[in-house]
Amino acid sequence: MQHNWTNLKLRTTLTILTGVAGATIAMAASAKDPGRGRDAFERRCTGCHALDKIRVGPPLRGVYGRNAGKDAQFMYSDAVKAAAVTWDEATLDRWLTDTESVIPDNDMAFRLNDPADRANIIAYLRQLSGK
Amino acid sequence: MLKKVLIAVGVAAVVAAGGSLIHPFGPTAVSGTNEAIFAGAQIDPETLGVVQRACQNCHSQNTEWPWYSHVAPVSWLLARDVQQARLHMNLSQWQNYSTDERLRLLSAIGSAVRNREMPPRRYLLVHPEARLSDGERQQIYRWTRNERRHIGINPRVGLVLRAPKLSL
Repeated sequence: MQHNWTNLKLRTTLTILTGVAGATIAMAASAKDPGRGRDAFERRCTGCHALDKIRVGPPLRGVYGRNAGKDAQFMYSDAVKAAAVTWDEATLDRWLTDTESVIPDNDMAFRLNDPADRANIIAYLRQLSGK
Repeated sequence: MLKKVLIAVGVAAVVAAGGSLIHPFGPTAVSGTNEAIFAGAQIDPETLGVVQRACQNCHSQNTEWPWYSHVAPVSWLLARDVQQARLHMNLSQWQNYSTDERLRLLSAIGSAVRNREMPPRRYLLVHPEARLSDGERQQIYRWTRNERRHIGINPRVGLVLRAPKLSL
């Protein structure tokens, strides 16, 4: 009896510790850190984007909160120009996960599979927009 | 005075000749390889001709190296530019890119050409033959979209399961 009681306490403790550890990891992964977002942006986005000038893609300063396809200097695909999408946390997260799911037939063939990178980059873009 | 000028010219010539023997970016300057580009892609001859004229000099193994590309320090600058261009995209290695990489590169080609990011302005200063008309830019853009659809429908077209060779 004593033996079973000790086992139960041990299992309960392990379950709690596992839960706390999992929650901590999940919180860290979903943290929206603009500083980390800036680093991730440099690593993953600057091959095609700059903040203030056109490169392969449109400039991204101020993109958070803006409607899709609205940089006056950039030549977007017809699909993006015609889209009624406002870039916020939800739409940007879906866009960076799978662009086709947001605006089919667009010109950006890129996926960012890491949810933490996506959340941090979106936080960075949001900060740049002052939102 | 004349003697000093001659000495300076002589020293510069010796330094340039010596520097030309140094290749900090590897032995890049091999002309006339004439390898196929976009192997495995469905590209019409007209669009291929435009790409060969405007893009392949930096983005393939088919680089034409002019005489000044063998004289340091110009040789180093050109070798670095071509090396970086091939690292971004080497059209001679097209069949070795994965499906995702080819889709990504096609979208980048289309957008960069359409938005006048490619060919670079400073390249066009010394290579006016690489200038693209608006119609040619639209032609390349349309082809990249068609090829993306073709690959999207047939994701295993031309797929070779090995890493792209990024050598010069």
